[in-house]
Parts: sequence; C-alpha cells; structure tokens
Amino acid sequence: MSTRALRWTAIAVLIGVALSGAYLIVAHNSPALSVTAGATSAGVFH
Amino acid sequence: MHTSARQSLLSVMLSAVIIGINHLYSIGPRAIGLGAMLLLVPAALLWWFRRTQSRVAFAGYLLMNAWIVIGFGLWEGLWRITLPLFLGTLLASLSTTFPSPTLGAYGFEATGILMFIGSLFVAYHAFTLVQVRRPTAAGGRGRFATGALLAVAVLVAAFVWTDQDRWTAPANGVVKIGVIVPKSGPFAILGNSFLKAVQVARQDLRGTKYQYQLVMVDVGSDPRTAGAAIQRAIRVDRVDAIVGGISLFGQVTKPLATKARILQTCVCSVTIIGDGAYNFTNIPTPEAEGIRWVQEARRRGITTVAMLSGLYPPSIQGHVTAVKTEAAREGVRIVSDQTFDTGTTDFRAMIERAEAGHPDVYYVEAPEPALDQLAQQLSATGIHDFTSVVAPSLSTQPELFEGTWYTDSDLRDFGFKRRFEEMYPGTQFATHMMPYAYDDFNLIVQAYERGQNPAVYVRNITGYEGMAGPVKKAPRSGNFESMPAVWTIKNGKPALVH
Repeated sequence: MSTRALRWTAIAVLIGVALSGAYLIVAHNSPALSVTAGATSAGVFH
Repeated sequence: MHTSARQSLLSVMLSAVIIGINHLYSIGPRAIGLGAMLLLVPAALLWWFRRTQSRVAFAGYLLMNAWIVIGFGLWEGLWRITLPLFLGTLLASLSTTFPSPTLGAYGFEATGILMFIGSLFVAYHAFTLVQVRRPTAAGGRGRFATGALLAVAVLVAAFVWTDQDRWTAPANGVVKIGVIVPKSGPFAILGNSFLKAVQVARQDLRGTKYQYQLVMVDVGSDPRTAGAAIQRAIRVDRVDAIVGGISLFGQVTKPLATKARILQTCVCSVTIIGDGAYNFTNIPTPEAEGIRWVQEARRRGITTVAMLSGLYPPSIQGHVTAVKTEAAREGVRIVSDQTFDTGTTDFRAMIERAEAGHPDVYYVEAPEPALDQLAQQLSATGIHDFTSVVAPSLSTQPELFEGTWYTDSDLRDFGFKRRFEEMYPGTQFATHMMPYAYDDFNLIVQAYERGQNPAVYVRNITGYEGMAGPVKKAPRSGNFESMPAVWTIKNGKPALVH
C-alpha cells in the first residue's frame, strides 16, 4: 500500500471513530422520556 | 497551480455542502442559500483569478477560505460542537464543576465534526495554493502541521479553562434571584402563590452572609412572548440564579439559563427540563402521583374507577396516563374513561355513561371552572365518592370536594402554610408547588452561603430533607424526586391524611 493510500486510510479511520464516538455520546445523552413526560410537555398545573 | 487550485476548490465545495447541511438544523431552509453562496462565490473568484491573475480575485478567494476555516471550522465546528461533545462530556464525567454539554441531534453534531475536519483540508489546500503562487514563501507541510496543531491546542486549553463553572462572590454582597412565574392569565393563582412562597422563604432567612434580592419576572400567559421578559432579567437585571414554576415557562427558560450559565431550579413536572447542568426540576413526577394514588386506592379497597378528565391543560392527561398505567399494573380496573374539552359545561351525559360501569370511585381532574361544575353535577346526581390528583387543592369552591381524597405534594412543616396565610391573607396556598418553591429558593441561598457556584452546588446534591419531606436526586440527574402525600378536603380546606 502506498504512503498516500495509507494516509487516506488513516484519515478515514479517524473520521469513522469520531463519528461513531459522537453517535454513542448523543445516544447516551438523549433525554429518557418518561411515560408521561411527552404528554405533559406543556404542563400547566406545575 | 492547476492541481493545487482544483484540490483547494474541491475541499471548499465539500465543506460548503457540509456547512449547508449542518445549518439546516439551526437556521432551517435559509441554510440552502448559505451553502449555495459558499459553493458559488469561491468558485467564481477562483475562475476569475485563473483567467486574469487578478490579485483582488485571489485575495477574495483566500478571504472566503478564511471565513470557512475560522468561522465555520474552528469557531462553530471545533469550539461550539466538537469540543463540547468530546471534551465537555469527558470533563463533566470527571468533575461536577464542568456542566454536561447540551447536545443537538446526531446529524447536527456529526456535520459539526465534519465542518471542522473539512476546514483543515480547506486550510491546508489554501496554504499549498499560496506556496505555489509564491514559491519563495517559507515553510511547507511541517510548518502547516505545526501551526494547525498549535491553534487546536490553544483552543483546547481555552475550552478547558472557560468550560469550568467557578464561584464568584455576588456584586456588592447582593444575590439577585429571578422568580419566573406568570402573575396574570390562567396561571395567575399558581404564579402568585409561588411568588409569595418564595417571599416567605426569603423572610425566614436569618443571619445570612449575603443579601438576597428577588427580581420578579412576570412572563404573562403566553410562552411565546415569555422569552423576552426572561432575557431582560438575565441581561439587564443580571440575575444570579432563577427559581421558576410551571413547565410551560421552564421550557422557555432552559436554553436561556444554559446560555447564560446560571442555575434554574424549576418546580416543573416535565422532567426533560432538568438537564443536570444548569436546569433542575423539583416536584413529584406524574408517575410518582400515579403510584401514590393507586397505593391509596388499593388501601381503600377500590377495584374499579371511572375517569372524567379535561384534555387541557396537558398535565392533567399526564396524571391520567400515569394513574391508568399504574392501575393496570396493580389490577385496578378502569371501567369508564372519558375526556372533555375546555368549553364543556354540561357533564350529565358523561356522568350517566360513567355510572353504567358501577365504579367504586370517580376520578375527576379538570381546570377551573370545569372542575367545580363537574363536582356540582356529580353531587346533584347523588355521587359523592370522587377522587383526584392535585385538582381539589386548586378549586375555588373546595367545599364541593368535602371528604374527597386526592394526592398532592407532601407538607412537613404546617408552620410554613400558617406563616404564608398570615402574611398573605386571601392568597390561595396551592400546596402542589409551594414546598418546592420554598426549598428551591433555599438551595440557592445555601450555595452562596457556602461560597459555591450555585449550579455546581445543586449538581452535587443527592438528597435533602425539605419542606415536602425527603427529596432525592440520582448523581448527574437534573430531576429531584419525591413522593406525594394523600390529602382530603375537611371543613372546606385541604387536610393531610398521610
């Protein structure tokens, strides 16, 4: 494999790792909607 | 020159497409115009330069590159998206002095990372292009790499420094606390009661190091116009922290408090408001109300229920859904489930249908005036065994609910209610929110008295004994959790059962 091909492979792997890591973090941080949180999205009593 | 120019333009065009997609999330369809401009203007400038060797065209092309690299790549892509996502998350997991970052949709975050990476290619090819045009210019790939690494390292260090929430003593020893509730419109009873509960809490302070000044923020009744009043409190009045009530307005406050990096404690049942960074909710969740209600129903031997509930406000259906979910789990049967809209005044047909199921008890929940009208019509039919969640404590004619049991916030210190009624005779003490309004104010006071950043102080709390009994919070959670109590209406007034 040429140096150029190696360089592009390394870049592609780095981008892949960054995007996968981002996916895991975003999925982990998504608010866990409770059974009724959606229904009370404009809660007025409180 | 030809190859360098082609590679430079290709990296610019790819970045323009990514920038366009990323901005669809923040500015909507206008992002298409932005993307098109970033595609066409550099292409036109480069074409002009290659035909005429115009210095103006070349400078214009480089300026467009600089905009993409600095504005979109480093500022938006790296500083505002990539660093909070990776470094912010890491720092928040290591220390509560760092807030958990507010993240957008995956598409937004992913294109933000790609904007940063794309800008590195744009910068590299622009650098190469300059070198080809001016071969005498010093440096090469090594010089570019060193410069880029240095710039990124400076930004990383700056992020670590600025991301941390630090203690700052209040200006002139005065802590300004914004009280964000509606004082007019359909939420006026709750808003005014909430405000007065905070005033009682302030009145109860003894021997504090700092002075605590309340800044009233009347957000009116429309959340669409509430944002301006909240912004004014943050920017002009420069409040140090916020106590708020009513989820509708807590949701509007959330991004503003986050942006200003100030604490918002909200007596809100919408749990997604609590992000564990700057926003925290403090009130029993609808699920907790449902669990407590069904526990009490079973204790009273109730096996069948007819439900009559208003469709508005949505929190009512939140309670109804939670009660039905818990009832199904515990084997309490719903024999009739009817809803009505705000304008309904005649409930007789609904009552007749509910009666047909021979329920042990009638669950009623509605806003005023429907609540009292429904209670009146049930009583007129000879039905007195009704029950609810919260609603009877907000009735303007509580005597209609004499003997009714319902769940509502606990109240450990009745002295608080007595002081409230002595200070503000004629103001309804809406039990549901008041103990939490009192506690939320005191959480902010405790933070300042201990010399801690209020947001960091509240992040660190995992539980406390408050006006509504024991309150817990899971580490890193933005939701304080507590169990409601069972109440009844006795002699026309709410009385705690247990």
